[in-house]
Amino acid sequence: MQHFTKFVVIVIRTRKVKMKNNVLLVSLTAITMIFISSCNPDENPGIVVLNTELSWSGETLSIGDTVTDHMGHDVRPEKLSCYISNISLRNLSGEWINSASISRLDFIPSSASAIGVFSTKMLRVNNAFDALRFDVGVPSEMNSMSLNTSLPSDDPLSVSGTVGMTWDMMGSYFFVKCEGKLAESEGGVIQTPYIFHPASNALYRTITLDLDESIVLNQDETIEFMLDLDLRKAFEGPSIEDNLDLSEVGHSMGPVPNAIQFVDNFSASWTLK
Amino acid sequence: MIHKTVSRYLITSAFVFSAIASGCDCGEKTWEATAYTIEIPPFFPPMDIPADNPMTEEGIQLGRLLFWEPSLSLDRSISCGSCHAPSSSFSDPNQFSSGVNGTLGDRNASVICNLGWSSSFFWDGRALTLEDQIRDPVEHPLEMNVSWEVVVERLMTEDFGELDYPQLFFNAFGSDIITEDLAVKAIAQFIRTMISADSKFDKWRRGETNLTDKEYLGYQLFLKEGGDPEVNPGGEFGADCFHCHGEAGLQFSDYSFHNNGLDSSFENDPGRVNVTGFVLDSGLFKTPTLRNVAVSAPYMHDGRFTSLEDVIEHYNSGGVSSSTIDPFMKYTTGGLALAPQQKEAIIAFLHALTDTTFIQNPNFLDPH
Repeated sequence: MQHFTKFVVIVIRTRKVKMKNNVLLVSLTAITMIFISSCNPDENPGIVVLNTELSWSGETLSIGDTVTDHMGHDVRPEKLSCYISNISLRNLSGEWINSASISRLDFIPSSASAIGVFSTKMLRVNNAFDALRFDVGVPSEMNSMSLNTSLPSDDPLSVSGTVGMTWDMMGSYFFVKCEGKLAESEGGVIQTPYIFHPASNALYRTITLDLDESIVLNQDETIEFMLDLDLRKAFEGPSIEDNLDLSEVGHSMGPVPNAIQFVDNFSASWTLK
Repeated sequence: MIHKTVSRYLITSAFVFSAIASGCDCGEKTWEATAYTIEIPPFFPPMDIPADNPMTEEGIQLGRLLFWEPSLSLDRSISCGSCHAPSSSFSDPNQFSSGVNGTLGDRNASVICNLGWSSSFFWDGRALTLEDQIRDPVEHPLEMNVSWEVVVERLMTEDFGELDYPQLFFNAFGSDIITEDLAVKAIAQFIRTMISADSKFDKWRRGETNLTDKEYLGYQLFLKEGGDPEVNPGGEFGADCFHCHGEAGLQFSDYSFHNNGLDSSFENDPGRVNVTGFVLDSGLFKTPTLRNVAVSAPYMHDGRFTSLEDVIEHYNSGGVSSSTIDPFMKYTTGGLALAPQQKEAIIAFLHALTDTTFIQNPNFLDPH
């Protein structure tokens, strides 16, 4: 870009042309520069940050706390991580603009953040938005460890940066890692494990949250949303038949009934603060 | 007249300047290190090389000399290599390592292999970079027990025969002023070259050989969920190794920390909690790589198991329950219930992770 500008200046000087006689040249130069700048990597995107706080029935929850579930079990969540992808915004025309992002959320001990980057081009038209959408999981076209062996270690899908989020048997990723222990009887020892490791396309879920008021995101701006993730809702669904008995979960990966119920509940556990 | 004077002045100045400049050229050493590019094995992820410690041939050569240099210990009796024996995949075949004066450590010296891909170091992960890890054993009272100041003084001033350490540091870093930082960087460069990627399993992954039926069965069990599904929901009668010793990136470690059910309490060695202060980290230790595991006995952070059979039996039993035991241990349901043939198959697979090219690589052996 700098070379191009220098070149234009030189051309103008060496020909010793008067600007008023060269409106065409200047216009062409401006158009060309705009074209070139639009091809360059976006230096001033708009950024959406999803700050998520963990809770249990509205009370702040930290990993390692002991809480009581709907069946009266003392439950101690010990790990919670998930992939958040495709953070999108809906403009006032009803179109979704997708940041094509992937973030890994590790709740250590009670909060985590995901980031979506929206290019200047995306925000040039219709930069007012009235809904937020994101997916829990890794999109199918990226859900392969063998595709991602060359990613740097700070990439959430890097095989060396995934720490426990890989499903080796299938060469893919867990979408959520939710582990802990519970006491099966009142006052009993908290030692029975529960492990949810939902994975595979069938357990990929999309979450849409309408905004109370529309927001405007311009280039070079960051908008932060505060989200609440109520873990109790992930275990206790909207109706009795959606409830999970954690003492019988064992290890639920893949598309097994407990894992399906978990992701359905989990995707209904997110609200905007 | 003025013009002539200025001209004479300029000519004289140019002459003097060039004389000084040429004089400087003769007096100063020129430094030109040879850049070294790590060859990433097939299916391995990229290795993070710190921007302030780029790899050079000269740095690696110096690092190897220092790794095997007994002057890095108080009484010059041991080097890094004393506790990281090549035949044991650069780990200690003894349960605890002997430091200077025979003092015993309290953890087993870990395998050194593929550490360029590790994100934390030591059994409790207290070092976050390889460079920081290397600083520790030199000054540790149970290990080499000497200050870096003394080490630097020795390397700077003492006679090492054919080895001219100031010159070697100059060759590696462009400075013949030896420092702790530079010594640590050189050793880190050497260790980053210690890559194991030529086991039978690697060859099989590259399509160069076949696993035996027993090894392949072991591999499948390695990747399967553990336990009888009747008592362990989700169980597949597998050995459930992969959750912690993940195959991703082919390092057979998730570089995370787990309590694998060795003890019911952790007074002897609290592990990770000493680093984080987080109570749920009590009794947790870093997952070691399984590369070359068949030659790197004894096992666990305290070297309590002397054979792979002991290790498999421990996991098969489900381990000892405690407040922080990993939920994948089958401690409430009677263990993995592996049949004898299955245990043998897993051990056969683990032997397929032995890389003799690595442990015999002459580039890693004592050069002194």
